[in-house]
Amino acid sequence: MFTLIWMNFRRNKGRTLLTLLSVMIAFLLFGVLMAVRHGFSGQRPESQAATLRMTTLNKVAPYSPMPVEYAERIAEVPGVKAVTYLSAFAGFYQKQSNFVLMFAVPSATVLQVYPDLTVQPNELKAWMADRTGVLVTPELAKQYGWRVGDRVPIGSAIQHKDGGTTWDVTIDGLINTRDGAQFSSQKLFMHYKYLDEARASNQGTVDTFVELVSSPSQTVEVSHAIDHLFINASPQTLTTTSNALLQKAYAAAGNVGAILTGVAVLVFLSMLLVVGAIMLHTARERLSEFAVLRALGFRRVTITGVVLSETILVCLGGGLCGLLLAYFLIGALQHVLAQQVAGVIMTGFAVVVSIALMIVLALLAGVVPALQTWRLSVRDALGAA
Amino acid sequence: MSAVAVENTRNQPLVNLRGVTKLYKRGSETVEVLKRLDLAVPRGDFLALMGPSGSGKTTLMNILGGLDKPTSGEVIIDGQPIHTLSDSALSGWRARHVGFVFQLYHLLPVLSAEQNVALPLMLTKLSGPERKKRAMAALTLVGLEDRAKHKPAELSGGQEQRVGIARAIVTDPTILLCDEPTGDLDRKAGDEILELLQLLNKEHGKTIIMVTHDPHAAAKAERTLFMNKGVLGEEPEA
Repeated sequence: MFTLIWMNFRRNKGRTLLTLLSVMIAFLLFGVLMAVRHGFSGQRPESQAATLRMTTLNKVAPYSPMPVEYAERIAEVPGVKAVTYLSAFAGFYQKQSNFVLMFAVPSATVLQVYPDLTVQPNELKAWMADRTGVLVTPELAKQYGWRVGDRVPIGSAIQHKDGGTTWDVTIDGLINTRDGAQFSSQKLFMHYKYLDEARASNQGTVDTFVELVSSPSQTVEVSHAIDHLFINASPQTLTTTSNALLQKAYAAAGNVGAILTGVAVLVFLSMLLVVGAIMLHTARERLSEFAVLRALGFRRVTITGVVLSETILVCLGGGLCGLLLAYFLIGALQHVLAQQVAGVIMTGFAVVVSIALMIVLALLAGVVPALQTWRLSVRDALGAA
Repeated sequence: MSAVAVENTRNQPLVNLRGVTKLYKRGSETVEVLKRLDLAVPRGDFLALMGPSGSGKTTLMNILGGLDKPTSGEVIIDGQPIHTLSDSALSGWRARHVGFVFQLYHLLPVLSAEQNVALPLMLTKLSGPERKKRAMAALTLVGLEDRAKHKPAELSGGQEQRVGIARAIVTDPTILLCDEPTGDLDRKAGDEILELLQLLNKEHGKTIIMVTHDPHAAAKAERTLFMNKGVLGEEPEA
């Protein structure tokens, strides 16, 4: 049977190659769309610690200032193991396009809430003792050629009390991840104390509180308890899991997932028509050969199996190549899209869905030629030839 | 099996058709292509079937080769009633017992001569090297061992038909069915094919039934039957 299949692939090498390329490009596109869709869904593969983290924001205007004193009250809520807070702002190095995501955090608690982040002990010690010191991701350090010990100016829109907007910081260490943690590659941790003492406005406030609970099952109870604490305060708070927060943020930007799914469906349907038409044509031009094979004693089911196997091989061969290319392309896209959306990855689920779609595509595209072959009248086909 | 039974089997014709009728529907009309046909072909015979177009020759060949079934009647070949076999069983039967030679050769264009000849052996349990060995033996028999690696497009019509004959005999079938084997060839190439068929019949004992329009080709057979309007006869219709 393999000989018969191989025989047809060699019949018209140009057509075989073009068909494989069409399927490959379709699944390259499909793989990338699935990855981008995943990024917008906010469903990142989480470390164990990430499933235990919760986020508290200003209920009326998310990411608007809240008193830093809220942290002490949140820490007393039963179920909260640790709490930290942060003020995030956009910075840049040397020119505006060199983006740096700045997080002003309290050095004493940030790694308690983020146990999936690690810093070399000597670097951590140096950072704790350095008021203007920062920790950066290795990617960021590599991107801008920073080394530990470098003094670098970071521009931002946050004004100092003296009117300046440049924050001179020292690279004290690198932030690494463990336990499969997903962490934006553009981040920089600076001391909250340094920001708060030096900035011209919003002193004593933060954008976000981040809590670590003991068990994922506690998240609902803890979120209600935290928000209840500030029900009569101004501002009120809204506490949720970090993942849910991310999904909400993406939903606010429009239903990107639905649009990407729609595009992926259109890609699939167009490919179905292309492969279906090609396979129908190749089967039709070989009807007299199939008739000869039947006359020689090949069974109906064998010949039909050859036709279906050819379609499956084209779809799987082209599709898997496309998926492999998509994997590498997504790797490259992760750096490009890191500022806009994290979690652009090819998940195991996407791979399974893609392979299932390749098989469905093959069966749908192959069903008409297979039926035509099954119903072939040897007598008529030989007579027609 | 007793000695008497073996003797009886030997005496039976290889091909035995009894009261074979074939009806086709053409729109609302029913056409009787074969009319209560009886035919007995002894083992080792070389029979030519002649007749005008539409007389039912090809239908008869299709029925003999298990490509079509009679509407009524019995088709017994080598003691096996094939008219009762299922489609799948008929495929297996064809692979073991019938060698087809077509007017237009019907070689697969992407395969070499040797691969074309080895095609029917794919249905056997023979190993790859053994299939190749047998294909080469068949090609040698038809005088084309030096063209084994050539594709059909690189062969002449006569050579293509020789490859077709090699493919038909490679499984050592019970019967060879040839449909106008020289119909697409010039006289010289046609004669070479007919000589080859004669050789297969006389030297190798192959039973051959050949449909032809050509009296010259029919003359090479041991006997000729004439088909006219679905009826077989010893003499052509006046």
